[in-house]
Amino acid sequence: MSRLKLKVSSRLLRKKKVRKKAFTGSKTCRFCASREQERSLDYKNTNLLKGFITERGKILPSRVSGNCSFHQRELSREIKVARAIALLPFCPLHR
Amino acid sequence: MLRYESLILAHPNITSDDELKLQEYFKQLATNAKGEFISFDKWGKYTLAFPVNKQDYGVYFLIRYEIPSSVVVSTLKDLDLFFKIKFNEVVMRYVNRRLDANVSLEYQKPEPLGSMTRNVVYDENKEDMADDSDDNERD
Repeated sequence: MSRLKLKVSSRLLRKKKVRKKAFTGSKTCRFCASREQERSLDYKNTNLLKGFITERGKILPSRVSGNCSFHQRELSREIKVARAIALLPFCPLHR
Repeated sequence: MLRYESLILAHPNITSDDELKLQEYFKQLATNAKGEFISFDKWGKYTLAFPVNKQDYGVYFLIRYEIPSSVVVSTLKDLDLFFKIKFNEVVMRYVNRRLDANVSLEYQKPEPLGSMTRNVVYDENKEDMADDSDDNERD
């Protein structure tokens, strides 16, 4: 039993390691890191906000962008305000 | 005193009279509430991210003012009614936001979306120049 288990587990382990490497990078919240970036987080600053939305206009999840939960909430609020005033799109094709 | 800002998305064909009326209204609003009128910035004509009221373009105005905390609710209500009833045709959308009193008033103006692709003007001289350079290369 133990041998069988070893064989299976070694194969699975290798796959898991690869997956883990793909997802875990050195991600830090850029707004926590610098005070200037935090100040520039505003609904008028569309250049910054554009970096946090996908091609389809969706808000990037924090596991991709690396933001902390506090700043992710703030960021999503700002993006939604910018959408309401037509500075950012809701979706790519409105016509 | 609480600092507020209103970003207004106005109709692209807004007249200068209406702009003046807007500015005067905000000045009056601040003075009536015993507050302070800070600034009135016209951003200019922008390409919108999506059509609003069947309009592809819009003019943005950023207005900043200070009002005492005791009259905030009533003044914002007045502002709401003003936009929805009197300036219904001019103001397409608006956002009122409270600002931190300690933070500086500097901000980054957004770049108009898609302006580079839409506002391309055909220039004959440039075309000629390009043709000449091609000819020179061939020679």
